[in-house]
Amino acid sequence: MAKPKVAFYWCASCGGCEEAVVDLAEGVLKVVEAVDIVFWPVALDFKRSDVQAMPDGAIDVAFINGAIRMSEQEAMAKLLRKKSKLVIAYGACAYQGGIPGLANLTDKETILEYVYHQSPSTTDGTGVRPQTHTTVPEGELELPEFYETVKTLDQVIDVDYYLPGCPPTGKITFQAIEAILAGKLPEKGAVLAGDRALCYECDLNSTKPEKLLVSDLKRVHQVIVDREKCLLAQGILCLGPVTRGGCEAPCVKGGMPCTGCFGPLDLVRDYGGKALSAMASIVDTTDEKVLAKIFEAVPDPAGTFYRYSVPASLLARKRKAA
Amino acid sequence: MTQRNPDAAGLPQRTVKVDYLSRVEGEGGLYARVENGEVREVKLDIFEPPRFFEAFLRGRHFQEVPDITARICGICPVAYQMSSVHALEAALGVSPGPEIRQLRRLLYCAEWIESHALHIYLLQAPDFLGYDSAIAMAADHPHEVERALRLKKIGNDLLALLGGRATHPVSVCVGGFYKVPRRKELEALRGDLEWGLEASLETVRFVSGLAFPDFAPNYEFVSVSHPDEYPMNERKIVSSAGVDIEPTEFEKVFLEEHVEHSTALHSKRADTGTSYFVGPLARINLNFEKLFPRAKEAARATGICWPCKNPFQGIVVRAVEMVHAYEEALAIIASYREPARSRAEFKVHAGEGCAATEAPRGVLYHRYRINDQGLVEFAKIVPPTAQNYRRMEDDLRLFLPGILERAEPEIARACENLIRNYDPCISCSTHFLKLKLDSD
Ligand code: SF4
Ligand code: SF4
Repeated sequence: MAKPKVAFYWCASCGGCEEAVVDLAEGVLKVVEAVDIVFWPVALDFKRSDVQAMPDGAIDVAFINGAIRMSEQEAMAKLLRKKSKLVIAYGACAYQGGIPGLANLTDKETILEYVYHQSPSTTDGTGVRPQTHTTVPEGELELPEFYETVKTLDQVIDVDYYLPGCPPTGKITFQAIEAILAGKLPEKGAVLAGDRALCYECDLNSTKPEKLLVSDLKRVHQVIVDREKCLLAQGILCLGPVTRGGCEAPCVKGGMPCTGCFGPLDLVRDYGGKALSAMASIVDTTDEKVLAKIFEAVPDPAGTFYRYSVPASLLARKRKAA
Repeated sequence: MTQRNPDAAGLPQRTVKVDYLSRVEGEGGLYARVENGEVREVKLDIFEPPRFFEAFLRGRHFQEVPDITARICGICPVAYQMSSVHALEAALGVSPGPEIRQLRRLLYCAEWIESHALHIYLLQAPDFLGYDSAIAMAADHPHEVERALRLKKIGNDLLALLGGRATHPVSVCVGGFYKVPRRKELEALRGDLEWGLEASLETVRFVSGLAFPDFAPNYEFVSVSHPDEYPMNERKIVSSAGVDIEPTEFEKVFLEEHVEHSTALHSKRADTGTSYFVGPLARINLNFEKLFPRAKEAARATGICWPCKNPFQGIVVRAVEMVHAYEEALAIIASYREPARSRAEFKVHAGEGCAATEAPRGVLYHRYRINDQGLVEFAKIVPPTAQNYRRMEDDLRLFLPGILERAEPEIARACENLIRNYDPCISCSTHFLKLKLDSD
């Protein structure tokens, strides 16, 4: 059998997902041997025109990371969709919008106005903004257009599978590649990391009481953490119960609660909503006033519960409808 | 790709266009116009999607900032975390003790190691050896590629031990760390680090044997500076043209400006309007004497005459800095004592503060103002690559005339190689490159 043709591409991302691929370390050499990488701008000198020249469906799998911020990324995503049999949304940004998606809590005009004019970093006072077209004697230079909001990959193209994480771990990446090579992929639309909450793979889970009730919510920087005891049982906001596992809980091992980068479990529509209600349900009160007081410990609820998922959330949809 | 368009005078004009600059961490293009053999115009066309961190950091709680700013760059998350932590500590008047300070330097060592190993072997060496990529290079140079991956992995392991995860570590916070390593956990890495030190010395020998184009512009080098240490997280900013300032003066001396043809901001000196250079070459030239002994010795043995002005030799400097990082990491581990408290205690109050640290790619400046609840009111981030854009354009202006005789694809390639010297991490400000060259 010919080696499968694989493409890697980044949209609005930090490069961390590319690192995750390189960090397969010895594994990356095995992958490189087993597949034929046809497009990977960070590592290979192939250009967009090389992709354009390929027949439709010529690429077996395209791994696309990063969110959709500008017209450029939508165009590349569409091109890769056309040329690829399978498209995998790789990492939190492509899957749920990720950290750049926090920008959706404000609108484009406010952001551009702030970043290019009001922000203290813009000291030049000329008020020049990047233009989609700049005229030079020979014609025009083009820059892509900013979109109103950050979008997830599946909001612009059809996506076959998802790999969660900010970034995905080497292990789930490797498992996904193995599944592709063996032709053992689950049903279309699946998130390739198992469907079990993080708590089940957390070392501290055995110390988590069956019925969890706390009188107070705290954030990790407000207390000295007892390293031997479930964080949530200490009242520290840990999103383990509502977050998909697969990462093997490195954050909790590092002394930090889970902030939810692997996103929701299969049947959950809206990660942040689920996280918020799960946290509310462990608080030992039904009194709304007391509840509100307790939640004062969370001064930035949107950034806490929706840190990686604003674009994928119902919240975003509501804003659009409004 | 070549297009021929008649210009106004009816003369044919050539356009060389590289629609994607590859092997840089981001997206961008390059446009250059040449008339009668003279370079009239050079524009770096950055179309990396800007992600507007400065805007959406507003309203976030200050302790969330390091976790969010890490996502500006997956190659150098530590620098983003640490610059924000130092700036916020300045705002809150917090000063963690000496043990924390050492651990933070150790974290920088880890990041320099993994970032430099990646850039030297996987992104830049293929240029000098005539390959399209590290993957193509691996067939003929399997030892080098394996060495690169192991060097990088050791950096990652150290990062993961200190930070909880290798990419986007989670243990860093304002005041110190959420968790500090045990002495024996660090000791367990000693063997690997010793191997890494030898392998980086081998790397210095390997890269100093490459053939470098003759090119040495008159740069103004800018870096962080500390009285006794090779610069990482503190604290003044100095330049080869005599700048010597506290971070609080940074914005008076260096300005960021918007340009129409790029989504990224471009920096310049406020008074002269000229470009400047940040990164390993600037660091070593301004701080040579503070290198650790074996790194200094290795640098001297390269035969390069320091200070060095050839940006192509930046690859050698990265290797020397990798030696330094391994050496310093070993020294820190040897004298490590677990701090009694992993983080300093402090009261939250309104305040403003700034700091500059040395990311693998150069000076990274942050400034924040927070309110009395600890929510961010404004954030300013000046990444190293944005500071270098204007300098890259100046370099191209100087470099192009010398290579115009060559075939177009070769010109495009040479320009890409030149840009790659800066290890442009376009994702930090925003992503990076596309080359269009018009000449008659
Ligand atoms: S709530 Fe957090 S600390 Fe507790 S078991 Fe779940 S993941 Fe672990
Ligand atoms: S513990 Fe949570 S935040 Fe950390 S990697 Fe796993 S899913 Fe992501």
